Amino acid sequence: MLNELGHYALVLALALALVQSTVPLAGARMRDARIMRIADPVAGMVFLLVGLSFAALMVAYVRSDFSLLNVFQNSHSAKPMIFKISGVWGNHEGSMLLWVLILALFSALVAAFGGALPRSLKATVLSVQAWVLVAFLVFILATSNPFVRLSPAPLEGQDLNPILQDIGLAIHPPLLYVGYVGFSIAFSFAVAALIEGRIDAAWARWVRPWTLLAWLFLTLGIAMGSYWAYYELGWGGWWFWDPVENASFMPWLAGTALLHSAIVMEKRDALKIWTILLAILTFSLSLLGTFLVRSGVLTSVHAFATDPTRGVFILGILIVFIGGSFALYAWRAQMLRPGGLFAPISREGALVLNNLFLTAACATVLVGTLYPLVLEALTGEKISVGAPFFNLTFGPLMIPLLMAVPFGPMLAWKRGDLFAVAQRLWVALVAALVTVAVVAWLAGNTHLLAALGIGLAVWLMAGALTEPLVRAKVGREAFGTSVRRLVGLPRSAFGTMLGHFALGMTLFGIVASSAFESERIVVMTPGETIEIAGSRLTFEGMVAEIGPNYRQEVGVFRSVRGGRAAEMRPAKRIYTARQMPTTEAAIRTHGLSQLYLSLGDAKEGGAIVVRAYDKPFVLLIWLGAVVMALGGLVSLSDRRLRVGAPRPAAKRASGARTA
Amino acid sequence: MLLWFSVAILTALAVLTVLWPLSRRAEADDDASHDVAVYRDQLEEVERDVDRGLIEPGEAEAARAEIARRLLRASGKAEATAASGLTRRRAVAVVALVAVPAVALLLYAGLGHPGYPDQPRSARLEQPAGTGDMATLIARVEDQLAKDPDDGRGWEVLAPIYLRMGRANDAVAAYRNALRLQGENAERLSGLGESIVQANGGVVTDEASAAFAKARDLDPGATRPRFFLAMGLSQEGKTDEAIAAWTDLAASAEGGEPWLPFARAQIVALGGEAPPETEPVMPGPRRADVEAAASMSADDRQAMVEGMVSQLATRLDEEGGSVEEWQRLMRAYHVLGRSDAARDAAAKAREAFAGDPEAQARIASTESEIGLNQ
Amino acid sequence: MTRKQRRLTFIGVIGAVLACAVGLVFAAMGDKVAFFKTPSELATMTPDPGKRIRLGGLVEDGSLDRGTDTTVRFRVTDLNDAVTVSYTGILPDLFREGQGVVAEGILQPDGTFRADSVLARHDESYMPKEVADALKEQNHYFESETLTQ
Repeated sequence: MLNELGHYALVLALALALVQSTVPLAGARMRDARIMRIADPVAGMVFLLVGLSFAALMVAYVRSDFSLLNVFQNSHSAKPMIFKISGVWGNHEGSMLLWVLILALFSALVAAFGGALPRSLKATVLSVQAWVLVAFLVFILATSNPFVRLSPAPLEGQDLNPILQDIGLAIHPPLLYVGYVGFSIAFSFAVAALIEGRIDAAWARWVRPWTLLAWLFLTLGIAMGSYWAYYELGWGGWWFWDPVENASFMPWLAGTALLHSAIVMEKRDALKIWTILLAILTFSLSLLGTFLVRSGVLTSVHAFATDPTRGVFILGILIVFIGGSFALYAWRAQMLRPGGLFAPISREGALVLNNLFLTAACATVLVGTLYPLVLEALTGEKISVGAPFFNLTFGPLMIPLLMAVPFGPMLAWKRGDLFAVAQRLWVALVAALVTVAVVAWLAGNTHLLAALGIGLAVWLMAGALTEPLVRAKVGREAFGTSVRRLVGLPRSAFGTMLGHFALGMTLFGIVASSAFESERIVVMTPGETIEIAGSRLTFEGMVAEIGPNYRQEVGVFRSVRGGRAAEMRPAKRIYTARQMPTTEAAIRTHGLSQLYLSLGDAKEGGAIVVRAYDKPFVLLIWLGAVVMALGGLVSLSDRRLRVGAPRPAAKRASGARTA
Repeated sequence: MLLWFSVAILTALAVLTVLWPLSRRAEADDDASHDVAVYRDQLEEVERDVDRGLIEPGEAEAARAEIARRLLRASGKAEATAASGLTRRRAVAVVALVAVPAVALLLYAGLGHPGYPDQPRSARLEQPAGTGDMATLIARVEDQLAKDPDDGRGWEVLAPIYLRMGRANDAVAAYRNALRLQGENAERLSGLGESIVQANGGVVTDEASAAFAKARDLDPGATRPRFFLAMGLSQEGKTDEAIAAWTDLAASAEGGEPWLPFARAQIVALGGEAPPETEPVMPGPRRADVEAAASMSADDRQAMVEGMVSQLATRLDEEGGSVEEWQRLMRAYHVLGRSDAARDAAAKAREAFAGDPEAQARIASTESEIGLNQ
Repeated sequence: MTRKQRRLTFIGVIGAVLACAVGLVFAAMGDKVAFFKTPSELATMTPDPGKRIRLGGLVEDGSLDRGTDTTVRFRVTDLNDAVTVSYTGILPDLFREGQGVVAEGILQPDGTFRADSVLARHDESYMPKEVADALKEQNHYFESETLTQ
């Protein structure tokens, strides 16, 4: 019964979303408050219905109900419970349902917490959000319905792709989706603003927290996915410039630009046209990502679906939404009033520069991702655009941006003094130069670029720390006063500091782990010992083990570092149901660095090929992302950014006017 | 029924979410007040920025003027919300009452299968015995073993079935468990050996040889261990020993065994001299069968299992046996899908243990286990 | 600074950054992009040490030489021609003879292919798309069952 009820809830959600997509919009156009107001409870109900549907699917997975085709194809009764649950979104149908669930969640959140929004704007936003919802609900019901039944029901399922049976999968897609889909709110706000014809500083304040929320989840999602690829795929790489990774990275770049340009719009009423465009672009890139991943245009671990009708359907959604919103933009954007003026050297100017580099970098990633597809469609010539391309295009565009980052928050609004800022940053500059010198001296001439890279990272970190200290006038006023000033700084200032500092951490990790990585590929016989970057690694032998739904050959290693020994157990696994092999790497963390082991082929006489890496400071890459997200969270907790304007103030204002 | 009841409730709730706000009076509200609040806050913020040195005092003055202009514009824009039109509200109410249920029910009628119940695995395994197919039975035994992995009899029943189904790795594990829990005997050991051979694509590995050798020592007359030991020797290229083993095996044949021509062919292939052919009791097997026997095809495994079962049946019929053996026979027949034979065996067992209530009870429990008394 | 100067400054900076981006993209398109080739196409090519190539095809049956050290050799075929590939490192989990594979690297002067990365199918039903397309074009497309024999 639950299966069918879940199915019905999904259909009912579509019917109700159709109401949400039209009625409040009409109400807003007619300025009819009661009709507009239905948007809130309806958005909540749509979320509950999709949630019920999702819960029903999850119960079917937990109970191994193979009368659902989707469960049969992607689950197995012997699978551990956590992977039964994560299996719900480890396949095309389930992941699309999760996508829609998060979309509905965001519109319910706007309905619940958007109390400070003007009613007509809120109604329009919720209607626009429902357009996306309707499109994807129709997509699910028409091409990817997870509630298709199977009769007679088999007694055992086909199991989930073992690469996806990992704790990383339990977390990575939901985080990523919250990010991806969260940008739909920025999109809905932009489209609603164009429809309403009101785009001003207040709009930017309302849209910013939603963007920030989506952005911080996307940051975590990308970092999680990268770490997952790092330890699960067994190649020791953490970023491959794979089209699917790019698909999530492009909205991140555009979203980061949007976060920054919305500040200018809120504070200075400037860059309005650009910010609206960016909001539309960001979500368009999210949709493009969904299309690339879900259509099977790209073939990779992520492409569960290779059914052409699905691809065509999503392409249709993509064209309608992107084309429609750009047409609306072209039609309405000219009525926007130009905002505040500013000099090239100013906070605004710095943020424009940030946007310029981020969007240019995003464009190169877009070109690199789409060019092979376009070329193949036009000429049939097949090419692959990989890391070398992106290193040459994306890298150089990031360097000037990163160098400029510490200046941005120090510059004054409207007109800034670059020289004065440079003077305040001298400590950071000295720290960076000393770092370059020390690293170059320690590592030798061959690593000059790495030394510069690490210097840049230190510059970013020291620069980020300088900003609040300078604001608090540390060293220039009495210590107590400075501390009081420091504590009194708005939380968003600390958010900025954390975000920029984290950028330095990630850069540090990237440069150090790639430039100073040690790698050894050796054939080891039991009892043999090798040295790698200060660790002694002894191969003790192979052991066979049987897990719940796999068998594995485990290589037992003893690693000794600094007098401390630990056992490392990399393995080669075979998942019984699909007879599919995977490689399980073993990782030992020391400080921020990691020793990484993976197994290759067995050789004569119990010997085995071993690939060992030592990756110094590699953890900083992901820690940086976590701190970045933390910065977003701190900013989000800033009073000014709490969703909407302060309620009491609104009451007071309207009270004053009626009096 | 419960489904339709839930569907009705969900639909009613969905309709109500539309109707409810329509019925309530809207409090006065206008968009401008929200903007005014934001700009007021911005004005205060400029003060804070000046205080923190984020903006120069001169620039701050200009910024204040800018914000004040926005504030004025927002205040002037104040536009009262229009009164709610009754006709419009009625139209929306009709949409909610008619369109929502109609769209949902029509779509569901096209897509759903309201009459098809859920089939969670655990519930299916708990269904009364005997209603399931072979897969259900295996699953049931597997679940039982997952709960009580020390049930040696369960492993013993399952192992040959796995082997027959081609799940060689599972068969190896099951035989190992059976050996561990029930102790060694020739049949289990040679089953283990055969499973290992199958898991290795027909190669008689050292481990398999060891199992077969033990089985042969325990029951020197058994054919299977000797057959595979000979095959192992052939594969290892120990020609002389292999010829001796095959010759020995062939000599013990009564004629007409399915593997006999294969053994003879091996001897010839290895360069030995095949012993004179004994007169087959029955027409000789087809060549295809012989080849299948060598390559361990599914048919052959079936034949082998059936052979074992019929041996057991014959022995029990002629010499009698323990109640466990009768139970095993009943289960085996059941697994092979021969319910009638199983029923027959049950009847014979009852007869054989007529005065033994404990044995009767065990036979009855096996009957219900394999679903005979339905 | 007048309003006009200000605007010109912005336009100048934007133009310069965009020009850099476009220039970088074109420069990278020239030599950082790997072209996908089949063994037959490779046979007619002259080796160019600066040119990265993705070689796609099937691993020829019986051609895999795991050697005694960490360098492996195998032949990649499109059922017309075959190329010997050498690779140092760990082959992917799903690397098997008779299965689809994509090797990226450089064609050596002696006509062998030196790969620095090797990708195999990701799951049972997956054959690298390029390989499937290329084989289909040459009418050598079978289901994977026939390929494994």
